[in-house]
This record gives sequence, structure tokens and C-alpha cells, in this order.
Amino acid sequence: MANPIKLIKNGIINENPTFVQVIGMCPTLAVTSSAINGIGMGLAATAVLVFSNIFVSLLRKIIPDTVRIPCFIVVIATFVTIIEFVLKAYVPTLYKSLGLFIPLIVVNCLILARAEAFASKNGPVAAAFDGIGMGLGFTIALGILGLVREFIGAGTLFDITVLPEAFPRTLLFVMAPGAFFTLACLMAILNHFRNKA
Amino acid sequence: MNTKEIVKPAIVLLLIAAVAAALLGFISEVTAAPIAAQEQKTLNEGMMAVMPEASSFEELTDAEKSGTITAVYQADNGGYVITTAPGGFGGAVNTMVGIGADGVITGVRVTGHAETPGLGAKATEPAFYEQFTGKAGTVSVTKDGGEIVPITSATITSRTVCDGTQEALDWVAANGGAN
Repeated sequence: MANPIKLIKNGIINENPTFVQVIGMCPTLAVTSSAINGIGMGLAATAVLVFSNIFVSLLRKIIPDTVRIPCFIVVIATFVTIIEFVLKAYVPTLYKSLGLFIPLIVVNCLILARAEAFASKNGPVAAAFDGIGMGLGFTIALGILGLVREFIGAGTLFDITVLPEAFPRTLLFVMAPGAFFTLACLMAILNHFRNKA
Repeated sequence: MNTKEIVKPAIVLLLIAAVAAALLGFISEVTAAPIAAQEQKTLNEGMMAVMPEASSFEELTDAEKSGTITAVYQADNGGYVITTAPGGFGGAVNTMVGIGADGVITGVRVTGHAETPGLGAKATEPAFYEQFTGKAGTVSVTKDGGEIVPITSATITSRTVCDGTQEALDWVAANGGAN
């Protein structure tokens, strides 16, 4: 069995879903207008990813190859809906800010990609750790994107004003184009260090 | 291809879907009450915020709803709380307006929106919505000759909130005495 720490490190650094694999771009670009939204989306996706990985792994021997994709989608959609209900019932403030994006977790290709590439070929424990690693990598990436965009665009960090009022805000950064600029710059910086290493 | 290769995948998929459906039905049942309670709580908190002097509210289900008005509530002190959903820059801007029995606005809140973060989204901040308190008759942004100072770079959103509030004021002016 693979080493759990290695699996988690793999998800956060070596194969970071956002910066290295560049998958799941729809939520990445759409929700990272603030740090808290990015982290909230990341954690919700992580929860879905861990559960879907475990169940896809458990079911991997009984799911016939020909219908595996519909089976994975049913498993993923079930957990997304459960998370939506639970957030709505017990954490309404987070539900309010993520709102529309929760159902979109279903079509986040990160989750289907991990089901197909990892969970359907490995045991449930390894699949769970892969889910945690990939999920954390995704959460960290979204958190950093949100922090940078919120800081430049609104002058706040976690809704606390940090830039003096007189300092001009570059509003473009909290809008859609800012997501692309920030992602491109972060990836360029990371690639620079990766190439050096 | 023999029959087994077609039937087996179909049965497995059916079983997985059936288990998922049963599980979702159960979760939906369990969370239905807390979700309803949360929604009611959010609504009550909103109504208390726009009309601090009232202590209870009752929905007027048979009220005639004009324009984008979504619900009308009668407060125990004779005032009204009206929810409207005028169209903004990024979809409907759900606006809750409290109007006293004398026709004066007791409070306005934006309860739900999809406006631009950092621009139109500032409609949820006190600096903007507190301008409405105490106004009566007509409300509009300064650009349109009114008294509401719009949010910088978000005139459309500011105008939308004014429109929603205006609809509520008009409703009370037309129907206020009847109830």
C-alpha cells in the first residue's frame, strides 16, 4: 500500500490539481473572488472527493467497465447533494456564499478524474488519502488565488480591510479577468521554482 | 455480445442508482425541518432589521403583488415589510423594505444578489442601505434627482435597490389603508 504522507504530498505539491494538472478550472476561476469563498469551495470539494473516492474504490470490483462513468457520476452527485442539504441546514452562512457553486461540484472534473485515475484502481484507504491530498491541494490553490485577488481587488483579507482607504483598488481583480491574470502569474512563479529545482 | 454482458451492467447501475436515491430521500427527510427553520430564522432576522419596532409579522398571502414584489408582511405595529426582486446588474436583487404605518421607511436590506463583488455587492453595507431609513414618497439616486448617493461604479445596482424600494412605497401608498 502506498504511503499516506506521500499521497497527501503528491496532491498538494507534485500533482497539485490546479497548478500542475490544471483541472477543475470552472470553480477555480469563478469562486475565488475572496479568500473565504475559495477556501469554502475547496473544503466542500474535498469532502465530496474523499467520500466519492472511498465509495468508488469500494465498488471498483462490482462496477462493470462499460458503465463505470455513469456509476461514478451517481456516486459523486449523491455526495454533492448530501453536502448541499447539510450546509443548508446547519451552516447557512457558508451555503449562502457558495450557493450556486455547490451543485457545480458534480461537474468538477477533478473529482471524476480522481475516481477514474486513482480510486477505481486502488484500495479505499489509499483512495481516501488521495482524496485528502488532492482536496487540500485544491483548497490551498483556491485559497491563495482568493487571497491575492481579494487583496488587490478589494484591499481586504478575510473581509478585514488591510490597505488604507486612500490606496486605489484594482477592481478588475475581483472580476472574471482578474482570475485569469492571478492564476497565470501564480503558475508562472511556481514553474520558475520548479524549473530551478 | 451476449445477453449477460448487457444485462449485468444495467442491473449494477440500477442498484447503485436505487441505493443513492434511497440515501438522498433519507437525508432530505432528516434535513427538511432544520432547513425550513433556518429559512424562517433568516427571514425573521431580516424583518426585525428593517423594522426594529415591530415584534411579530404575518404574511398577507392574498395581497395584490404588483411589479417585482414577492411577499408582503403585516407587522404588529401597523407597518409593512415588503420583499421585492428588481432586476440588477447580475440578476435579481432581493430587497427587503420596512415601511411604517405613516409611510416612512424604517429600513432597507439587500438579502440576496449576484452583483459584482467589490462594486454592486456593496449594496449590502450599512453605508449604502442606511441612506433609505427615514425617507418617504419617492426614492432615487442623486443622478436621477433623488437623495440616495449611489455606490461608486455601481449606479445600476444602486438604482435597482431604489426601484425595489419604490415599488414597496407605491404598494403601501396604494394598499396601506385597506388592511
